[in-house]
Amino acid sequence: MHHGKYRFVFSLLLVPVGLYAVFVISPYLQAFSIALTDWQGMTADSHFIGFDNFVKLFHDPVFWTALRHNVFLLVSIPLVIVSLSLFFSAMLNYQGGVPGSRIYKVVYFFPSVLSIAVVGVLWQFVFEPRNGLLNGFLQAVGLGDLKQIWLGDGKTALGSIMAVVVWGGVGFYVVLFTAAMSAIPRDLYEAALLDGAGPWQSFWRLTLPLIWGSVQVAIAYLVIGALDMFALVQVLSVGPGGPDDATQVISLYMYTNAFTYGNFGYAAAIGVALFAINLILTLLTFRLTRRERVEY
Amino acid sequence: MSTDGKVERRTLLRLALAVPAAGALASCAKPASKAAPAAQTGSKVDGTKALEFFNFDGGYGKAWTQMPLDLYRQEFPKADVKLTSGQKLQQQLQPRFIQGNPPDLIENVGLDAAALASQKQLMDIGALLEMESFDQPGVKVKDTLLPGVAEAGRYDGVKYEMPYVFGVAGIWYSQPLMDKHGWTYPKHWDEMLALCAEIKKAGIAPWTYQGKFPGYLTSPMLMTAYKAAGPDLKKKIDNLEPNAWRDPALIAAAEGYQELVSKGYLLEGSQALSHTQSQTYWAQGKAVFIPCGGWLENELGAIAPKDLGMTMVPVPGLSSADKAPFETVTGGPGGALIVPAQAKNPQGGIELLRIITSKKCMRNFTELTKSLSVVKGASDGVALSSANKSMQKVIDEAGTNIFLDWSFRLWYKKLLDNSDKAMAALMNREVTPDEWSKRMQKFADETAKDPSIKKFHA
Repeated sequence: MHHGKYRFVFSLLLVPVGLYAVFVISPYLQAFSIALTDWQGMTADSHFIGFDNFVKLFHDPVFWTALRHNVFLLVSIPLVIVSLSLFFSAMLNYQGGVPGSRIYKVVYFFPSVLSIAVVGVLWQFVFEPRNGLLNGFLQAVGLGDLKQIWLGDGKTALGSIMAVVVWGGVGFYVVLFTAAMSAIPRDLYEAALLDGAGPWQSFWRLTLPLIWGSVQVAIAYLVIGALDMFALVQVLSVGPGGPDDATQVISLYMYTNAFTYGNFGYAAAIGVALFAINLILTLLTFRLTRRERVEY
Repeated sequence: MSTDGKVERRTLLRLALAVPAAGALASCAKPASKAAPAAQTGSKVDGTKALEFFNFDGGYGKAWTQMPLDLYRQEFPKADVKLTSGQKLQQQLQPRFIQGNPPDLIENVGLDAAALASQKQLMDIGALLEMESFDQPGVKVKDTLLPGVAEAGRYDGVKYEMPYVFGVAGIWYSQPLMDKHGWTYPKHWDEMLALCAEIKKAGIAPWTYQGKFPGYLTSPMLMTAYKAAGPDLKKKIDNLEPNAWRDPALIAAAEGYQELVSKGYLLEGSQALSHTQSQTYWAQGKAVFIPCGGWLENELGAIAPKDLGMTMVPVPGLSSADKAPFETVTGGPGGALIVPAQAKNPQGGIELLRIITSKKCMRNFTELTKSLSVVKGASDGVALSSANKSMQKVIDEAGTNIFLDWSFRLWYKKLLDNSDKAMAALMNREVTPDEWSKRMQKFADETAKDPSIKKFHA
């Protein structure tokens, strides 16, 4: 009987796995071999050039600028988003939730429903330096001196885009953490209370360790997300990637090399480098955030 | 000029209007050459073969393609004639080039023609020029075209692209606004800065530009340098000669344009404005000058007030010691129709090209798109707006002082992209004019040294 069951399961999986192999796995694998060629993407011919693309990449200042921006983002985005989401969800759960917590939960989640392109276009209007919401708001509350060109100025551009990521990301993790927190048995808190723990202590000693699995997943997601950033940079930034590479990220630089400079071999090499960085960082994230699993 | 190459296209119309007389003369003159008959048309075309035309469904839309395709169907009733359209040609057509199955004729906006040419993916369409015009018997195609059209679209001398529109690029202002304040447009940059001071006093921003796409401002800046240094500068830059970007004229022009920022002559926030945003502010009278190509009027559409009195003028030179005349402009034939070398029916593609470049079809094009075409006399009798009239004047006054664009911008995509980045840095005052020129020189040297980039020569 058993082998019949496997045959059934296998036949169900055949189509999705096949599609996945053809459209996802095989392009990934091909990227590795394309990275070793000088393929320009207009004809089928290309020449094997060994590791030349990687040598060039190593000496390419724009790549290093892009990498630096990605590293900055992957440290700051998880830090900011996770702290804010933890704060909000702790507030929502504190003693059964602050008044109106159910409404807040929904409101926080709003940005997650919007597609990333819509978010980008929306924030274009917020950052618009002359009639935009942000500068208009600053003016209205008497902080006109703080007005900036935002996306047009190399000093504020990357920070502005990061703010959009935070705005768009917090809601989802609030929902994630809130759900994890509500799964913690109430009697644990009552016990802590009897032992004399204040709210601060019960958050650090009780809540956080018990939802650590969710936090760990959140950090891994955010790190991977911070290594991408393509869509928002492409829609929002000057250039895109500017002004003068101020918002350049690896994924955009890969795209530019492929579709603007017509250098698919080099772009594939950038992709392979990005893959390696991604892999290392994900492993590192899990290693660094590993803790004893608490059973309850 | 603009990143999508639309810039060069529009202005073509004006020239076509200027030359109807010349066109008539040319067609009269031709019958004398009857002894040397124009190349036979249609003879090489296999009328049973299918034909596909890929249209860029952008600024000009696709309505204009109807007439030429119908004419082709009449000529070859057995052919299965198909129109395909799109806006992302790189993504849509790249796989078809790789598979060896490209369309037979492409209205190209987005594919890197220099790369296609260097990879032998384009058909030499030089023969078209010698063929007989579709609707002017006894006249060769090349003799129906405006000056410069037959020469345009060549890579290493081979004709790969057929332009179809005609345009110029320059600086725009509102004539009523200038008249109201008694301002006159200056011919040199020092006068421009003096005028800017006056405009600023009147409470209007003197300049704005499409900061999100800094290339819009690179064009006029390079033109100011060109006027100061003379045509040699362009040649050196385009040929990637050592130290070409270190030319004092370029540094002086960079200084001049950076002063727009440092003296507060730029509409606040311009560096972050998209083309539509900056152009809208300009049309609302928030700024007096904006650089743009001939399509500005179409792009503004209903945003432009009725009494805007849009006027285009050439970019100012640097000083009275300039080596090239103030009237010099970039422009000429624009747009590119290409026949892929691997097309299944390239002769059909060329035949359709012959039909498209007929007077009848180009007139239809002008009527539908309000843009000038490359064929002489094709826009006779089409009413002109103030914007079009001013561009016509710019073209007339330029005479032979007109060139298509800096060739490095067409040949070397990465250098073009880097010049945009450097422009942004200059206008954000992150680099000095001298540092800007050093950076550009470094980028040009990198391009010259990179063996993977195919080089062309001017």
